[in-house]
Amino acid sequence: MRLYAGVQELRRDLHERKYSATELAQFYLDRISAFNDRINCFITVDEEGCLERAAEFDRQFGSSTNQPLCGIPIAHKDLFCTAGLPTTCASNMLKSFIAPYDATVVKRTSDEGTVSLGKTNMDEFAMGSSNETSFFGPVRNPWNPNRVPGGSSGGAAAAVASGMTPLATGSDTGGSIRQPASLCGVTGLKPTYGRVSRFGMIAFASSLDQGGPMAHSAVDVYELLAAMEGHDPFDSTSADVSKTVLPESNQALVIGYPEAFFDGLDKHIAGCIEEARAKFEALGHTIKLVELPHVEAAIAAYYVLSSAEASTNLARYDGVRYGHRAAESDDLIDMYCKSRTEGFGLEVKRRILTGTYSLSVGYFDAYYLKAQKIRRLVRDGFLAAFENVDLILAPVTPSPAFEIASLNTQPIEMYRQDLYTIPVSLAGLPALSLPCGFVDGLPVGMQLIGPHFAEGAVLGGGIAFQNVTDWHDQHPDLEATLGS
Amino acid sequence: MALSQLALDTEDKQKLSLDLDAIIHFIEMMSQVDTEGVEPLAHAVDLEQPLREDRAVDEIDRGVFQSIAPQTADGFYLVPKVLDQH
Repeated sequence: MRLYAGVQELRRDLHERKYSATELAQFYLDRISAFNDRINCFITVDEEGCLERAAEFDRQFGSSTNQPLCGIPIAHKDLFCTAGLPTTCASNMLKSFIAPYDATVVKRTSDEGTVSLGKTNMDEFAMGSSNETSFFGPVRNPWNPNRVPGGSSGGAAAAVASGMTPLATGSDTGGSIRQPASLCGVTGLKPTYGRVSRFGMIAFASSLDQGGPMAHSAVDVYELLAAMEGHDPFDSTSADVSKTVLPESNQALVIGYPEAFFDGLDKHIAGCIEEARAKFEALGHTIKLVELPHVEAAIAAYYVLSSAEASTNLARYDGVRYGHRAAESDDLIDMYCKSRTEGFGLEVKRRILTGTYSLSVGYFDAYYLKAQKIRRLVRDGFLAAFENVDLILAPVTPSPAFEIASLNTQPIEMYRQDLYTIPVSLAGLPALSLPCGFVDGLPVGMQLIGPHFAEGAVLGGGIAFQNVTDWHDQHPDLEATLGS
Repeated sequence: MALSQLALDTEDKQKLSLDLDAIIHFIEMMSQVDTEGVEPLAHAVDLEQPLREDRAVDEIDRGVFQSIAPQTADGFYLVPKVLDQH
């Protein structure tokens, strides 16, 4: 089998019996066991469960091949609940937590035939842009192990980039799929808020959180999205809309180019995106400048809103029903306090404190309500732009992957990593992050942003770009970088 | 601190108070945006609430859910005492 094979190739090979589902699963398990100790992208590897399930497919093959992803391996971000397998959210708080049920995303992808390899590392409770806040240690970028993979879905991005899985689930609140996809050179989609069920996905900021697919290409991202999406009676914010359909090829589009996003952008990254823009023009699309207001203020508004929602969501971790409980305490309040203080890491505490502060009496109007008003201005800015354009082309990150420990004591600088992804999150829009070049030997990506529920157009644009470029087919040489 | 139920040690307190000063200074930048007459937005996507039939489904097994709790007895969650007995 071929390292970095896509879904269509794997499906065809399995169908033609070039190898069995068991051999395929073993291939990825071997890759994980060879490199995971140095990349640290898996928290839990489910070797036994994975091989059992693959063997089940091998026995049934021929009789039950209706499942489009039958026998294809996948890795789930460790905030999707998996019955019988730990779901840690990369936190000491949940290090021994075993969920009694599967998240809808896990159940649906399993029903479509995927074979789960295990659970991927992430920033604690998905709060971070570098995967350094994980209780289980930082993930390393497969292109250069001294660099971060991005976050919070850093384990998922690094696992795909290093060929340990062809498919991975991630989640994106302010950029957590798109930024690590960009820094690791893989393709990832943040769907429209409500496209994918959040049931069983551990909550960070409920008005922003959205699960989504990560893979080697936009085609594979589409395949995985098709398995994940759709209304779920268990999540009343999941939208009852028709499934994503790819557009007819060769449709000429008008692509917006937000000039404000290019002020202060690393000039090499800007150069990569300029080249992509020229490719789109060569494909017959028209480029049009668009204005998107309040990009900077959007980050501030995002940190107020997401921290406020986080402080509320994380109130449930009280050491009573599940999660960490302090060994000794004087009374109930002392038990809450000690359990939470021991269970949460520093970044999570920082967000909880920011959230409780901005929600407190006397500050609510100045911070929380003000942020919600800015959110409307940001969203309306996008909606106005989409009256004139079909898609928007933008950078994903202000720089390529930065060095481990270079920003982790500077929260504001770290938050600014999400400058280009946050406005899209506040507006609830779908956005694809896909590779568009290299700077200093490190991959960089670009975003294709669409109107609400226009995943088809966004993915269609990405597929067309990847048909005429090979950035997504570049892979790190782990043997050379890490030694075998 | 009381609202967040966190008890920080001196070192964390020092680190976080500096960070929080910087964060609050940073979010103050919002005041530069004119939001006169703008309605707050809680959710970005305008969607109708999908409704489902009000039907009981017996899916939660107390034993399974309590098997992951730190401390239980006779089907109840155990916590440290809340009130002193007099």
